[in-house]
Amino acid sequence: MKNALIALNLALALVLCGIPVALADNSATVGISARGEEISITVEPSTWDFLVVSAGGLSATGISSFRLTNNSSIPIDVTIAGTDLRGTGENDWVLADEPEEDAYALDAGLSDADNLYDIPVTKIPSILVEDLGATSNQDFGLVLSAPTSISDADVKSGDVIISAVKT
Amino acid sequence: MCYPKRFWIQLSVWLIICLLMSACYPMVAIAGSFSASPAEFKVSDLSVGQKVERFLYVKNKEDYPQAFIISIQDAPDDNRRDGYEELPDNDWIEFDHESVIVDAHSSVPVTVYVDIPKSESWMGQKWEAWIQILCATSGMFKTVLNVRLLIDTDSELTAADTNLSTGERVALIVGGVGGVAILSAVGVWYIKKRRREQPAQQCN
Repeated sequence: MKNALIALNLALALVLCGIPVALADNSATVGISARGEEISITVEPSTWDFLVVSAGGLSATGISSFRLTNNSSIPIDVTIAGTDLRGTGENDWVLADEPEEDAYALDAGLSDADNLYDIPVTKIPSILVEDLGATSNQDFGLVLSAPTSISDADVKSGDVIISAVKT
Repeated sequence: MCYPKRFWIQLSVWLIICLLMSACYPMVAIAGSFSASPAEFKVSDLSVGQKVERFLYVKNKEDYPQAFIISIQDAPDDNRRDGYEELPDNDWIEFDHESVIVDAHSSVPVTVYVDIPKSESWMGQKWEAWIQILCATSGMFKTVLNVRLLIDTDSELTAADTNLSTGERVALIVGGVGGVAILSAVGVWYIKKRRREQPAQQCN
C-alpha cells in the first residue's frame, strides 16, 4: 500500500511538472524560400554591320560595343565561335585563322585592362569569359580582318555563336 | 531678350520633329532573351536498361514568340565535371521535342529521356553530356545555353534490372514452390520405402 502511494505521488509530480512545459509557447515560425537554378544570357545589340570592308583591311566594332549579361542565378562560362560569311555571290568568305583570298579572320576582345582583341574566333568555341558572376555583365568587341582578295562584292552575313554553361 | 513669335513656332516644330524621330528610331535589338532550368541535371544510381525521364523548362522572356532547337552535344574535354567521362553514345538521350516555339513570356517543358542499354560494361559509369538550347530567332549573335547532364549508372543489378514481367515472376515462384514440393514428396516416399524394407530384412 505504501509503495503504491509513493508511486502515485511520483506519477502526479511528473505530470504536474510537465504541464507548464507543455503550456509554454516554445514554437516559432521560420519562413523558408528557395529558387531553382536557371541559366540565361543576353547579348546587346544582337547585330552589327561592318559596312564596306576593303581587301586586306581591318574593321573593328569598338571594344565595348557589345554587352554580354549573365541573367542566370549562377556563375557561368561563356564561349564564342563564328561561321563562314555567306551571301548571294558564288564565293563565301571562309572563317580562317588568318585572312586569305575569300577567307576572313575574326577576333574578339574584352573591355578590360588591356582592351586587346586577343581572343581568336574560330568555328570551334573559344573561352570568352570564365566564371561570369550571376547578374554580372561583360563588354566586348569584335575585329574583322577582311580577305586579302575578294571575288565578289555581294553583301555577306554570318553568325557569332555565344554559348553559356554553368561554371 | 525678346524673340519674335515666328521663332517660337519654328522651335516648337523642330522639337516635335525631334520627339517623333526619337520615338520612331529603332530600339537596340537584343539577342533573343530566354532561359533554361535547371542549369544542371544529375541522374544518379541509374540502372542500365531502365529508361528515365526528366523535365527541362525553356522560358521565353521576350514579348514575341521564339523558336528553340534542342539537341545533345558532347561535353568538351576541358569543361567536364571532375570524374565524368564523355557519354559513349549521344543517341541514348532523346527529347520529346527537338524544336519548340514558345509564346511570349511563357515556358515549355521538354521531356528528356535517358536510356542506357543494358550491358555490364555500362554499369558503375559517370558520364557527362550537354543539352544545347539554341535560340533560332536571334540575330547575328546566336545565343546558346548548355545544360549539363550528369549520369551515374548503378554498379549493381537491382531487382528491376531483371526486367521480368509479373507473369514471369509468378511462374518462377510457382515453379520454385512446385519443385520444392516434388522434392519433398520424393524424399518422404523414399524414407517410407526404406522403413518398409527394413523390417522385412530384419525378419530374414
